[in-house]
Amino acid sequence: MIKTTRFVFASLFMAAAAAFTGCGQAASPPPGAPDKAEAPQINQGEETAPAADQSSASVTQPVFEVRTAAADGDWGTLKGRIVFDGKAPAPAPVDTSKDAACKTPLTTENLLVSPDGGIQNAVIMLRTKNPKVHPDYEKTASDEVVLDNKNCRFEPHVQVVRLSQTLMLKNSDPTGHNSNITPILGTPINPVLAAGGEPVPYKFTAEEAIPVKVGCNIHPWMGAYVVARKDPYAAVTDKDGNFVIENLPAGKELEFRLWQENAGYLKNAAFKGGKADARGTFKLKIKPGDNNLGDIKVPASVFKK
Amino acid sequence: MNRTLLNYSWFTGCVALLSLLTGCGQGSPPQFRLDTVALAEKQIPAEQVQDISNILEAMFGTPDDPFVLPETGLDLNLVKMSAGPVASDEFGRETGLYRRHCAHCHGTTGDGMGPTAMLLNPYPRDYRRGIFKFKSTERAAKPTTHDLDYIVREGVQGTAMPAFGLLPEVQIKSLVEYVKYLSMRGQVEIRLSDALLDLSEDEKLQPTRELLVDEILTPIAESWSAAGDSIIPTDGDNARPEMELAASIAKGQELFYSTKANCVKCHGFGALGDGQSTDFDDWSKAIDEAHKSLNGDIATLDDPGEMTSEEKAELAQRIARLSLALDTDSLPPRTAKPRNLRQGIYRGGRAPYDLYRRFYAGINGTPMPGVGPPSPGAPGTLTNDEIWNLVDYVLSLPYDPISSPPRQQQHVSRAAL
Repeated sequence: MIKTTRFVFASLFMAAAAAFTGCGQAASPPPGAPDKAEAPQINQGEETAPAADQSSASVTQPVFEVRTAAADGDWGTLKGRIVFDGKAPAPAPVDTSKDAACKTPLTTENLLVSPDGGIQNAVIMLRTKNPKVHPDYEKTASDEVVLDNKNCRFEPHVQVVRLSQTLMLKNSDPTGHNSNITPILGTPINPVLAAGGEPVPYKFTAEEAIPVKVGCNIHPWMGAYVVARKDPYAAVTDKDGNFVIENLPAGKELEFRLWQENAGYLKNAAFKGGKADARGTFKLKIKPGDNNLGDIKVPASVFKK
Repeated sequence: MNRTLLNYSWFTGCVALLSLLTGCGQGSPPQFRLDTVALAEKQIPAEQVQDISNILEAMFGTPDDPFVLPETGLDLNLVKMSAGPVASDEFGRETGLYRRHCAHCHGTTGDGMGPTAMLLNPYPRDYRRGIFKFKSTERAAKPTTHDLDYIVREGVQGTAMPAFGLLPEVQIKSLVEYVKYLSMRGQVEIRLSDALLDLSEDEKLQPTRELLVDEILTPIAESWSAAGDSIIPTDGDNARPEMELAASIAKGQELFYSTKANCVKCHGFGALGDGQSTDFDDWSKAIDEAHKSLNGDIATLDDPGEMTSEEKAELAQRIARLSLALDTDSLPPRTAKPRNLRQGIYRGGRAPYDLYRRFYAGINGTPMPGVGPPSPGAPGTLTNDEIWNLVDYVLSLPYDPISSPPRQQQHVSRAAL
């Protein structure tokens, strides 16, 4: 023990000496320090490099291509069920006592699993950019989509909104709310929603890398997610974990992504004949007519308790 | 126990000895740091993290040798005056202004994590999100050059941010330019990590000019240069109504407690800022969520169920990375404290038009919502007149007799004896 203490003293002394002489600059570079040899050169000249991947598609491009006539053989519907592979934790009660107007008992909604394993509010979205869009979607392209504040929770908890649609922030409660939306690319907004007030319209201006969270700061337990998209090809699972995406362009290989609020991208989610990668993406060729993926099993390890 | 202590002491001893032997002061120059917490949370692989660092260096240079692309709209000479180590030339022209005046709180990277940051409440601003609280513009807009200039010149009342009004004009101008420079660098970093997050496993980020400059940098720079177009007017249609002050204050009080304006929810029944106060601002919220995510992962590892050993190893690695990032690269999250309105201390300025703009747009980056039109022309939660009623009420609160106890006037009482 004495020996140990001495060691500690000696080392502390040396550390102190080092501290006095000033060593802040001598350490090895921090993780992720620039590596000169690999630093890319930014072309400042007139010529521009060709677009190398879809993510560099210009924002000024048309939102999507609408075909005037559609033959049935050109389109396919994707169905499936997203399933929790293992034993899911039960939702926890939420303390709503801060506001007497919030009388309805609430439980957490970040992971809702049905008795037979279906995950509610998971998202499947098309990753392939600028797909052909079925003309049927034109009818709903400029719809108003409601995000309601009801019983001190958001309804719906997760939804898809197209950039051409308008999100209406509504308050059906007898108490005041606010809707704090902080997208990285779009416009942050945080309006007060008066009890009995008119809904506040909001438009997303860009697709975000992950669904955008909506919060209420007056009631911090409240949270909702909005999947903001250029095209309409995304779906949220129902209470049994089922999803349907109708009228996808058939015949071409498409890339899809799976996301869920608790886990983020649903990596290693496996279905018959395929598996999602570490970023929850998988490729699929859509056949004309019905395409049923069956159960997409997500390993329990990607979820947090 | 002894064994651990012994190992530990050996380790520190060796580190100390090494640093003594290698000599100090002549080491590598300071570097910009990446937001390792965000990168760990987004699970960006190490080699892609290196890509971000390389791209940022190509676009913005280093703390000693900054660089700006013309698309930023920044003046490199002004940026350079604030960059680098503290020095002055034979004509007395000073450089390294940022490190001299700002870096000890705001950090070399502008991440609000300088050496003194931990001791301050509120924490120094982290510029990297491009979000600034006290400004004259719409919630979503950047601050104007004048807004930043004003903060540097006057400081922020009620915080540790001092006033630098005695510095020469050109130095203040240079510091403002440098803050914008650090902010744009941080915003580009966020955009890059998001672009990487969006990739699938077998894709690679292509650092083309089209992506880096046209798609990422230019919109950021344009939002900065266009800030002046989004100033919230306080005259014309937005002017204070002709209304007697007492009547306006009474109306403001009614609104304060109503379910229309909802001020009471956070600022409390006594307006002491003691209502709802368990929420965070955007900066602390990100750290709080990272802690929650870490704890969730740890709970999963503690009770892994039917996890394969491969999955367990991967999870453990994820936990280690986030835990390390949080320990070394974040400040403990603090809840956002709603302002005590009876003190008469207003961080964003005490003029009626300052308060008007706080109510109109809320405070970006914080739980404080806005009651004005959410977008220009749209109907707001409160009318213009109602916002001014609230301004009058809130400005009257420090003068409310219950805001301060009566002062002792001993000589008066003694004379009466």
